[in-house]
Amino acid sequence: MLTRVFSLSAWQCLIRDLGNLHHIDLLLQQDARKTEQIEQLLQQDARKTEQIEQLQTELHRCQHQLAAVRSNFAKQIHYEVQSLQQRIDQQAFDRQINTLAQIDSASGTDIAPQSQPTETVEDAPANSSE
Amino acid sequence: MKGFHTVHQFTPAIATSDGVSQGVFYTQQLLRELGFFSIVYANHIDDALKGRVLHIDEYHPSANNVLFYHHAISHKHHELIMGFPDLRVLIYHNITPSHFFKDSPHLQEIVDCGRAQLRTALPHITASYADSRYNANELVSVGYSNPVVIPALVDMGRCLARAEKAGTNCLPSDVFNLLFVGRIVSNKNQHQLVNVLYSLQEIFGKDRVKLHLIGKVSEPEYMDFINAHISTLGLANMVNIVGLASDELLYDYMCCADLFLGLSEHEGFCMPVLESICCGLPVLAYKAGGIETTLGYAGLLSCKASNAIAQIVAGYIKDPAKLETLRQSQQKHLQQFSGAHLKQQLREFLNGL
Repeated sequence: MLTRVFSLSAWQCLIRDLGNLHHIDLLLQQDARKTEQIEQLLQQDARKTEQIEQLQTELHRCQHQLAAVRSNFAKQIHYEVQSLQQRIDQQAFDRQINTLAQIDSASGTDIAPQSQPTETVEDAPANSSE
Repeated sequence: MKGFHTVHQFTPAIATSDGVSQGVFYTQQLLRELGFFSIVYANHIDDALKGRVLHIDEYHPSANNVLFYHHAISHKHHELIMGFPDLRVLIYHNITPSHFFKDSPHLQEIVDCGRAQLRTALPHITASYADSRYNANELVSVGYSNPVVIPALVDMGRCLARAEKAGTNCLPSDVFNLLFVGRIVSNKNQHQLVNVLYSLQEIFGKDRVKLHLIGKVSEPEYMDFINAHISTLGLANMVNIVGLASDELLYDYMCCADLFLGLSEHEGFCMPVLESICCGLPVLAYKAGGIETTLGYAGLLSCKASNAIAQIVAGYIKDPAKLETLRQSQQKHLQQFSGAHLKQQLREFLNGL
């Protein structure tokens, strides 16, 4: 009955078309999977971009902090050196005063006597490193 | 005293909140208690003190007067006063050496000139005294004969009365409160106190010790550095920068704190140390300049290493009895600054003229 309706070539075309249809369906399924993958990759990329931005912000903050710490450390060194220099100058100044005072004392000038120490001066512990 | 009844005083500048000015008024009080007629003369006079202090242009020089000449930095009336017929007594309060002002040639000139005036005054001075042994030694080095030490700078009776009125609970009692009083200026080394606090934090952990800094900011750059330093070390919650405080607030802190800690490179006398002792506050201070006269030997620090000082402070925190012993030693030392003792010293000094 069917052979009366469709010629052989028509059958062949129908079978081929069914095959093509199936192939198209497979391609569409593949495409959907790829699209999903691309969306996932895009989402991943967005997350990575956000992470990079956060890291860059953090890096800038750390760079600023480091610059501030460096600057502050430089200032600390400056004030410590200044303090040390003042101590050295002061000791030289005191030594000069004491020498001159001793010369004057030897020639009769003196300061009124003071009470003797009753307590010891606080010394640095032996492990002092500064 | 060769019949002198008048002992006036001259100081180049006088102000209400200045340490030397307080000493001048206290000396005036002692002189009056000894029966002398005594007026204070100055060149620069704070508006609040006009009437209480006369300008030097109003002074009537007389060979019958004794004139106490308070010397510190240079001033323009030096030669005029050296020409007076009065019997001059030089009182030396220390001139900060010029090496502390390397960044300020103008200040260097003023202090160097002040030292030069100390020398040129020598032939015109009958006698001299200084407020610390350290300062007296400097007078000897210039050639002054037998300068005595009369530390008439702080009216102890007044300090003790203020201390009695002061509040006793202005600071938290669950932490150890360290106090320093002095201008915020690099030679007073407040940043080293912050370093000590950092070392103490390593021993006791956070929030067990607190540092309070009282004083006017004289060096804004240094103040900025201190703030940054505190922040870098993570000590923001442990440091209280009070700034310039009223006398009432100052005494509240002195009466409530646990220890005064000072690491200045230079102090001529350091009145806050004496005021702290009056308030019963024990003191640890680096032995710079005249601090030895003010503090005595108990509590004198011979080192500047922050970790070493932190160990010393930690010893006092751990052992309150040791802190009490220090306080008592310093209270004994206070006796030499009593009004009666100073009056006696002043009487003997004037009798010797």
